[in-house]
Amino acid sequence: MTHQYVAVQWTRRKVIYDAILIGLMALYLLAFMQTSHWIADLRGIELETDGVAIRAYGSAAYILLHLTLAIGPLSRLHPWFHTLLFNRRHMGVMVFLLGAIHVSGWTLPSQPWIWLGMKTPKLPWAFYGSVAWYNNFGDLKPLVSLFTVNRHFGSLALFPFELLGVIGLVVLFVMAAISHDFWLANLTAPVWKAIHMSVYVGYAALVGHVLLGALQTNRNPWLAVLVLSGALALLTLHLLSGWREWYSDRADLAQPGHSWVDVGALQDIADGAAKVVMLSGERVAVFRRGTSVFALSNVCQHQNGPLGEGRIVNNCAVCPWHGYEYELETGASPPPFHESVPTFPVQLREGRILISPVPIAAVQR
Amino acid sequence: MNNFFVHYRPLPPGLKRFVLLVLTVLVTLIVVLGFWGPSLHNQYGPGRRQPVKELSGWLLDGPGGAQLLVPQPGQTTQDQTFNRVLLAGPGKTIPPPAVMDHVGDWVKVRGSLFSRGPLDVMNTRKATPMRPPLGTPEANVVGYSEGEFTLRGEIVDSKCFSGVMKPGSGKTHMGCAIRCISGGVPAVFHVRQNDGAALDFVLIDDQNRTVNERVLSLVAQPLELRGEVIRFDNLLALRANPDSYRSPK
Ligand code: FES
Repeated sequence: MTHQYVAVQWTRRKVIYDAILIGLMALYLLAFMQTSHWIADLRGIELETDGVAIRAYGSAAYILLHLTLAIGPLSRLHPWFHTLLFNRRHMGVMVFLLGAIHVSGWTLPSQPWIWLGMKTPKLPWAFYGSVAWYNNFGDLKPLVSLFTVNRHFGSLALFPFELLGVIGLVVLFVMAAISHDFWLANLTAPVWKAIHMSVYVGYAALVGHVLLGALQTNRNPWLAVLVLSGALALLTLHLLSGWREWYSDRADLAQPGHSWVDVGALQDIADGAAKVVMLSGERVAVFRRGTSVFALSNVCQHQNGPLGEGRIVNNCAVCPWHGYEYELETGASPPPFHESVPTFPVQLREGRILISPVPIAAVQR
Repeated sequence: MNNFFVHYRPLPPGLKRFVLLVLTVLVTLIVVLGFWGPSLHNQYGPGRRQPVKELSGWLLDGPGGAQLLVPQPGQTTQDQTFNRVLLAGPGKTIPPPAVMDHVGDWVKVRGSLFSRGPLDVMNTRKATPMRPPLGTPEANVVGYSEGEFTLRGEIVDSKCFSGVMKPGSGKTHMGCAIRCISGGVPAVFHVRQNDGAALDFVLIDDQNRTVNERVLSLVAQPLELRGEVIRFDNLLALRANPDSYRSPK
């Protein structure tokens, strides 16, 4: 939760998460490059290390993008996946960084030599990115070449797949650049969310980049199977979680002419937890604390997380995504935080919960 | 609070096992993809980059681009007196004037040599004219016709294809190949025969000129070319007008 902006609000778990993330990606990159060396040695041929590094970083970004996009629907399908979701934005930023290195190379190890104006020796991790490797050293500037070299826009098989990669990377850059809560608060959650939905445009562009690029040159059926099953798995997860939400949203309990709606029995809700009901097109989280009930908008002000999947801690409803807290009675975050969600009038009558579907405006602190 | 997770609170014991399971799945996935992935990519090729060498021979501009005719050591046949090494400048360019000013001379050049099968290409910046060794045969500039053929393959650049890039052909290589060919590196028609063996032909038009600027939009795509195959020592050339290049049916 935010009352002033810091680069990252680190918690021990975020540090562990990032360490595992970086460790896994380093493991993948090392395994990919080392195995490539072994295969080349075995075949007695020379390895093109720049090309291998370009493939290693590109595929790492592509795999991690799938994992990042899978976390959303997975945590909609089961709350245990919230353990992956709370730091998903760092995963997204990592996808962008890997993609950027795929494109522009890894020049960090060479920087001291560059700063000193000296000729850089061949360093173990340094490599030309795909833009320079394929477009530099010629009669045009690399970026000019990138955008003009292939003009087969009318042919699917020859389509300039590089441009699809550029679109994907630009989308990932925008996501990474505005991933901070500063932008979230200033753009407002709905706008920020809407912009973040464009990650699917980016994903589609990157699938196209791979299908019309790597898979055009490389007809290995297993590579095609991997790429297609990745896309299929993501599609299935999104359809499943979307269908589940649509199915539960269908049961709108509000009835015209009734100011109080019976949403169920108190005993059906576990103490300290909530259930989500649909009232006049709005999802309402109905929390139970002992014999008291509280109704709050289900939409967390942070990133529209499902408040109703949270729990009560210290008299606050805690969002399961990133832990934003809202007081049960007022819907306001405890000071010094400013976020708040609308609440709904609620009554308990003979063990039944009645809610008025007209929200009480969120309390502003 | 059973299994309710918030990142700034202690991890409930019931979730620990789940997190470990997810981690195991992720590590397995990464290890499998990391070790299996490289064998699925076509990032291997027979091209070799040899250490910097010094070569002497006749410097010619054609067929197909600048080349050095290095006498074959030992036994030579009448139609293969020289080993022809195509020449390029540093990067995706033709050799600089310090080389091209000596066309027709016997020269010494120095540079990295890239080789793929019978195709040799050297990166060079400078040629030093010398007196040819006694008894050096003259270059055959007419070549030996092998007849008319229809060939299927793709246009690649001779330089990156023969050494630097793996695989050095196909669509992902199109950008690089176009830059090279646009920069004057000899354009080569790469043909894979039915038995898997490859043949590479430098491309010339019916006036024996280079075709580079006229084939840029046809690079790295399947093509069918009909023309006369001419052998210049170890180098094969395909003489056909670029207007006649076709997509295979
Ligand atoms: S969505 Fe982030 S805390 Fe609720």
